Amino acid sequence: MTNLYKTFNCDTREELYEKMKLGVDEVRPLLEFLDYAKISIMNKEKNISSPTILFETVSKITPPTKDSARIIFVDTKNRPVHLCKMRLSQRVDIKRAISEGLTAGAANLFIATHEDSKDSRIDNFVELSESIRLRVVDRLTYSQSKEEYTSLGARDSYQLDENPEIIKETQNKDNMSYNQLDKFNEYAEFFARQELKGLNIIEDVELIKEKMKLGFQFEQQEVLGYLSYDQDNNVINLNPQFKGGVNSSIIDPRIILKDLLREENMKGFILFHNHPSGKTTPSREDMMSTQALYEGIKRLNIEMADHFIIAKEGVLSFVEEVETNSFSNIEYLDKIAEVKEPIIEYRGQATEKVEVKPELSPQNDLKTVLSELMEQDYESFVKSLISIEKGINDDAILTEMYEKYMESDATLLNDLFDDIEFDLELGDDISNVISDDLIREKPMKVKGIEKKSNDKDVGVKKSLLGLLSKESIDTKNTADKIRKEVAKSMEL
Amino acid sequence: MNILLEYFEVESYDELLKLVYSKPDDEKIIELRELLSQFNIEVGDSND
Repeated sequence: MTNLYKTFNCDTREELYEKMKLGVDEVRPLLEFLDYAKISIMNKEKNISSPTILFETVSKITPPTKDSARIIFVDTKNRPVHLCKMRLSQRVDIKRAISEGLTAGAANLFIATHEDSKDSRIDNFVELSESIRLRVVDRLTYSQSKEEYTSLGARDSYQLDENPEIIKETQNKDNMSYNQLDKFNEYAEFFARQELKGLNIIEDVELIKEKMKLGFQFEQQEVLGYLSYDQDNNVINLNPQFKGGVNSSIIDPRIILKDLLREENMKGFILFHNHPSGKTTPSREDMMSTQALYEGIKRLNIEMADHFIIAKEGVLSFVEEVETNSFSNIEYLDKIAEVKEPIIEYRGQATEKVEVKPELSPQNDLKTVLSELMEQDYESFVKSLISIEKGINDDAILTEMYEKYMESDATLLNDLFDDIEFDLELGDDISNVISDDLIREKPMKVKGIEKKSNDKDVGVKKSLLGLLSKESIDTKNTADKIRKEVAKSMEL
Repeated sequence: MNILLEYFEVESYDELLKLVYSKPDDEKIIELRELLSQFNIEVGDSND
């Protein structure tokens, strides 16, 4: 049987004891446990309910140094569950401490730092901690010369937190009762081990979505989990972590990170959850939680490639389909686009790239350019058209109009084209259809100037064509460029 | 990776301390208690 001293690479117990006395980093867990045992024995009330008790507590443990802080992880009732020494300058050490704290079931924490520690590093840790919903109840600063602590909060008592307790049952999926082991688990485990593992999150993203949908679309409760991937972007694990109610939002960064930080060789993850309602539409809370999680894990240098919402109607990708300023993993989106671009779907099977040569005509060229513009920056594209058609230059108004347009069922083309299409479907002669319908159409306006002659119109069209050539595309300034070109043409 | 927690197969120091109290006669725990006592920390008396 392995002895404790051998576990810490010591030849004898005495050597281990000496290392502990010297406080060498190699035996850090033993020193931490020593401190933890001290505060547990000392604190009969078990919870840290006031600064007085906190001062008594920290006075029993090894004080922080300039480089390393002391973190006391506590549960929702402020009962210590773990204690860590943590180097504020090392991200790896911060990750390790947070991982240990979350695994221990921490909901909150106290941090004690040395007076000479850099404020920016402390602030950074506090922000990180809060962003993943580990509330910092109080911050203590240790004065080495005075051998005393001061509290940043300086309150009489610590309010107990409404922060929900981390659900411990998520740690014991292997011990779930038979009732809990429904089809979801069978599917999830099956896909994790047999099918999803090894798939590439960029090249095989559609396949991954397909398998995720099969596995989770019929689940009656909300399931939250993640797909982790390695440095080569290959899936290494599927971890369905938590089952919630039928319509509650269950994205808690602490639950996700608790397992995620213990994944070996993990570069990043794709979050997923299902909607038992059958619709993939993200709720406001889904979006806010995604944003909060994204901000939190970014600080830990972990990638969050995407967030899938799985439902009967399909799999929604936040990165590809949700327009939000909060979570936008552009790099990942570009990689997916690169892979998707050369693939043409044929009877559900991805095939080799097939080069399709478009017909050589002006409208095809322009169509290609316009399509590219739409894909690159749809908002600017729509705003440009509104600006040309309505002569509006104010960006705030254009933004408002764009948002209203996106909320409505309106299309960019007016009813005239629906009428023409309808007439054609009825078998009317094309020349009659167009002339009849055009009579009802108002003349085109540019900046309030009515179209007066065919020559001017041709000039405008040519200018637009030139403007929209690939060389001159600048999506951010599309509206301005189009306006300038149109104005220039009108002056000719 | 926390090798102390791994060695005792627990997830936190809180759990480890509970283990010290609940299994005072376990060989591994005895070794840990002896080490703690070197630092004047007496927990989980095996005669309790």
